[in-house]
Parts: sequence; structure tokens; C-alpha cells
Amino acid sequence: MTCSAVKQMNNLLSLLGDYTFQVVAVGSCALGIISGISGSFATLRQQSLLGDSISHSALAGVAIAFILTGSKTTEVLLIGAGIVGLIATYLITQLSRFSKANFESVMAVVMSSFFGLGLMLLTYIQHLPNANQAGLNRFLFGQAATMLSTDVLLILIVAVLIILTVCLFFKEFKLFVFDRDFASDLGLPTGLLNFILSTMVVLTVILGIQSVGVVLMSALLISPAIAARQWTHHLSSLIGLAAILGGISGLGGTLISSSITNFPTGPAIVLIISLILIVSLLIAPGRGIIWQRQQLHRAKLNVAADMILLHLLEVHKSTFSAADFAAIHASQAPLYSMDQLVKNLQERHSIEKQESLFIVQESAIQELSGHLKKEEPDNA
Amino acid sequence: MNEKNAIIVEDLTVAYSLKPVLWDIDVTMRKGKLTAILGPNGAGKSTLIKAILGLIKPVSGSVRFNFDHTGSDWHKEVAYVPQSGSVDWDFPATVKDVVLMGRYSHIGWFKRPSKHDIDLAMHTLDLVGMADFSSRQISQLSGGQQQRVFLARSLVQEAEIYIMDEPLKGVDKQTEKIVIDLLKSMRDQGKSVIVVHHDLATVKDYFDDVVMINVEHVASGTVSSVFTEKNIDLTFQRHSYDLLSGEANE
Repeated sequence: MTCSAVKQMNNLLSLLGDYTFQVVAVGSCALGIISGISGSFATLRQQSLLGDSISHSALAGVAIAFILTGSKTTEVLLIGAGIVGLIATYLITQLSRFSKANFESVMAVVMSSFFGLGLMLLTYIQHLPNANQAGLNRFLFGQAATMLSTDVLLILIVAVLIILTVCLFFKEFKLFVFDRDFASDLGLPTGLLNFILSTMVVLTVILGIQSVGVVLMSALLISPAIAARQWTHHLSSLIGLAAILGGISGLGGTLISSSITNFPTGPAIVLIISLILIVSLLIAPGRGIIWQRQQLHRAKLNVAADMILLHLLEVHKSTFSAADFAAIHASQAPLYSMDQLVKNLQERHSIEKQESLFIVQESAIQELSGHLKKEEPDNA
Repeated sequence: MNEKNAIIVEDLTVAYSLKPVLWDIDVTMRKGKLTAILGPNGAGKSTLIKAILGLIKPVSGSVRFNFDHTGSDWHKEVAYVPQSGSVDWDFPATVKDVVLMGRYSHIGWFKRPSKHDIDLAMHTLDLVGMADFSSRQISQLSGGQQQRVFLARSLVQEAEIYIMDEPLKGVDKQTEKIVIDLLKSMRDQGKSVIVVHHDLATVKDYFDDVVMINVEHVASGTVSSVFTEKNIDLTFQRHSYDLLSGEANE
């Protein structure tokens, strides 16, 4: 190890041992966990962007709370953020219901207006006599290091409440999100369930902006759930995995940003979860893009091999030599080499090699016989 | 209660804006019968059953149920099978998960499905010919298979009245046979089955009673007496009726 690498390791270790860092890391980790949980339900309900509108609008709430009370304590600012976030959401739902503009346009307009207002107010605050607006700026991109142990305690309490709620009402939430009408028909209190799930998202966003900031909060809300969805098709595992991925990102992001002076935590956290997300989208078996490409190639190869086998069956019946194969392969001129095709057929147990001949297996004959035309259909 | 009507609809009117979707509907549906609700597109058939189920608030009118079990919570005795398009099929759930959802009102809060619930779910899946698919992701099902899963989900509710929105629309022949045989055996067990149906050609073979509507009530009763050429014409024609004079417009 080089000298500077050793120094970095030491820095890291001393960081990990530092009590302040530990407190802050626990807070961010817990935030990541509840983001994963709340985000799972938000994305399944197709409400991914609502979290974004709450968080962007919250900036104005933070600024207004400071202007009105002069207090920079977290509780006051977050209450302001929450109130304005809820007002914005209410505006969005009402405006889109009663005007001709569609939901997404209304959401974009309201969200950016409140956010713009928030930025304006932050600048105004900067010019106030008792300024120290740097304190409020942390809500833009998040700074976990500014979290006090009381803030982290609040986060942990909310996290426990959310986890308990989801465990208790798991099957009701599952049904409600999957098929609201049916849930209502069974007599479930759909209004209450809706309220609880929405409150979870609001709480998560408002608490989360301390660590991730208003601009990037929605990324932490939805990315863990989307990534988790790639790996499982059970709701319980999805929520669990999303929580774990969110927690890892929260922890890792805090580690990175604490090692570099003045580096906001939000981008660091989101960087980690975005990497996780991209990898999940690419390589997850069953849903990953790369996996799907491989399946397609496999399917094409299978079809090409089957077609050649069909020809061989018709001409040579169930036994043929390599030369027979080569002859037909030449005339078909497919995109694959003879070796590829033979290997494919052997792997799928369609043919077996016995000395110098290939024997077509019963199972393959059965499968392919459906393709042998028995009668000529009527044609125009 | 020994009334022979399972559902009684009186003066039901549903309107979203100035144009009514359902107008002054008076109709009764008999217990223990297979009833078809017929009408052209936009006639209000789906609206009618949604209003019966309380999913839509009417402008006026009322809906009453008669159950064999007195004092029943009506949610437990009425099962609804919607059109399968209304659901997100990429939701992470297996066929068995979805069918078990039908048992939630029996299971109650905070508890998990019991062995009896799971056995019933598997047995019902077998009835609809989907037992082999119980662990399969619902996103991998065909349209007909989705419909059968929804049917199984409603069967495990063990309800008295079943209301279904076009269960046979766009399904393959095999599914259609399975479903209609199942509906008939449910009727034979004394359940009341009400179906919004789209295919006039099969009404005589499948159903006991019909309700024919086109925004207004046109005719209802047994298939033999009411499913006539004239009534079909009246229901499906593009006539509108002048509300004041009662005469047909063109």
C-alpha cells in the first residue's frame, strides 16, 4: 500500500469510530430504509412523481418557516416543509381534477413554481441582517452531517412506526394497491389505507430532505423499489430488498460525503442507489435487459436448429450423419455455424451422438411432428 | 328472509354531467338464477353493476339485497368480478396470492391465511383449471387465464351473490367453457349469478333470466319470455326516446 492509501484508510477508520459520524450514518441509513419501504408502495401505486412534487415544494416551506419564526431548528423547518408540501399536493390534485390540464402538466407547474419561490426566498433570506442562510441551503442537496441526535431519534421512531405498520397491515396494503375496487368490495376501509400510505410517503420525504435534499429526494424514494422489482416477484421480498438497498445507499453516501469536506450527502447517496439501479436493470435474471437479449439470441438459435432438424427428419428420418447435416446446412445457409447448431441440439437433448451418427430423440420427434404438414391447406 | 329476489333496484339514475348514463332503472334479479345484463355499448351495463356495488354514487334511487343469512354484512355476501383490464398485471404477486386475496374478509385483520384458506384456494384453482399455475407470476398469464384467476378469487369469498362484468369477453374457447360450466354449477348450488354479457348468440344456452337496458330499462324477466326479437331490437336500436312524450325519435 502506498503512503497516501494508508492515510486514507486511517481517515476512514477514524471516521467510522467517530461518534458524530455514527449518529449521522445511522440516521441516513434509517432514512434509506424507510425510503425503500414507502417508495415500494408509491411506485406500485404509480405515484412515483408525487414524492418529487412534495420534496421540491418543501423548499418554499423551509424558507417560509424560517421567515415567520426566525428559528432554524429542524423541527420547525420540517413542519414548514410538510405543510407547504401538503398544500402543493392538494393544489395539484384539485387543479388537475377541475381544470382541463392533465395531471402531469399541473404537477410540473405547481412543483417548479413552489421550488422557484423557495429559491427566491432563500436569496432574500441571505440579505437579511441575521443571515446565516448557509444553514437553510443544506435542504437543497442535503447534508447529513447537520443532523443532530434528536433528529436521528425522530427518524428512528418514524422508521419503527412504518415497519410496524407495514407488518401489521401487509395483506391489506397488498390488496389495496393491487386492486382498489376489489378491496372496497370486500369492505376494507380504502380511504384509511390510502391515507396511511400517503402519510408514509410524506413523512419519508420530509425527513429525507435533511439527508438527500429536495432536489434529489425522489430518486432515493423510487430507485430502491424499482431496483428491487428487478430481482423478485414477491411483494414481501420487494419491500425488504428495497429497504436494504436504500439503507446501503444512505450509509455509503454518508461515508463518501463525510470523507470529503463540504460535499453534500444527497448526490453521494443518489449516486450509489443509481448505480445499483442501473446494474439491476441490466443484469437481473428474468427482467434485465442483458438477460432478455440473451434469451432472444437463444430463441433464434433454437428455431434455426429446429428448422434444420425438421428438414433432416423429413429426408433422413431419425438417423443421419454429419455429412447429411452438412449438406442441408449448406443449402439452408443459416447465420449459424454447423458446430453451433449441433451443440444446441445436443444441449437440448434433441439429438444424441452415437459413434458417427446422430440419433433424433423421441421427445424431439414428438415436439416437431406438430410442424409436419399432413394435408395441403386450401390456398387462393 | 325468503323473498325470491336477490337484488332489488328502484328508481336508479346515474349521471356524471347533464347526460344520464342510467335513467330511472327499476329492476329485480331473482335468487338462484343465472342472469344476463344486456345492452349496446354505452348502455350503462357496467355502471349499473358498479352502482349496485356502491362503487358509483347514483343521483337518485336505491339498491337492496336479500340474503339467506340475515344480518349479513353485505360485503361478505356479494362478490364482484371486474373486467381484468382494471388491474396492474406487473404487480409482484403469484396466482395463489391473488386468489387468497378473496379470503381476506374471512381472515380478518392482522392474521395470516390459514391452512383451510390455502386449501380452499388451491381447490378453487383446480375448479377453474389453473391449479398448475398457482406459483406463476400473474404477468405471465394470458387474458383468459387472468379471467379465470379473478373468478377463482371471487369463488373463495363463498358469497351468495356474484356480479361479473363481461367475464367471457375476449377469452378463448377453453376458458369460456370452463367459466360457463362453473357459473351453472354455482347457480345449481343456490348462488345468484349476475353477468354483464356481450354475446347475444349464447344468451339462450347460458342464462335463465335477462335484464335488457339502454340507459333506461327496456325489458327483464326469463329468457324464454323476454329475450325476443322485438326486445332485442328495442334495446339495441339507435332510437332515443323523447322523455316527455314517450315517442321514439330517429
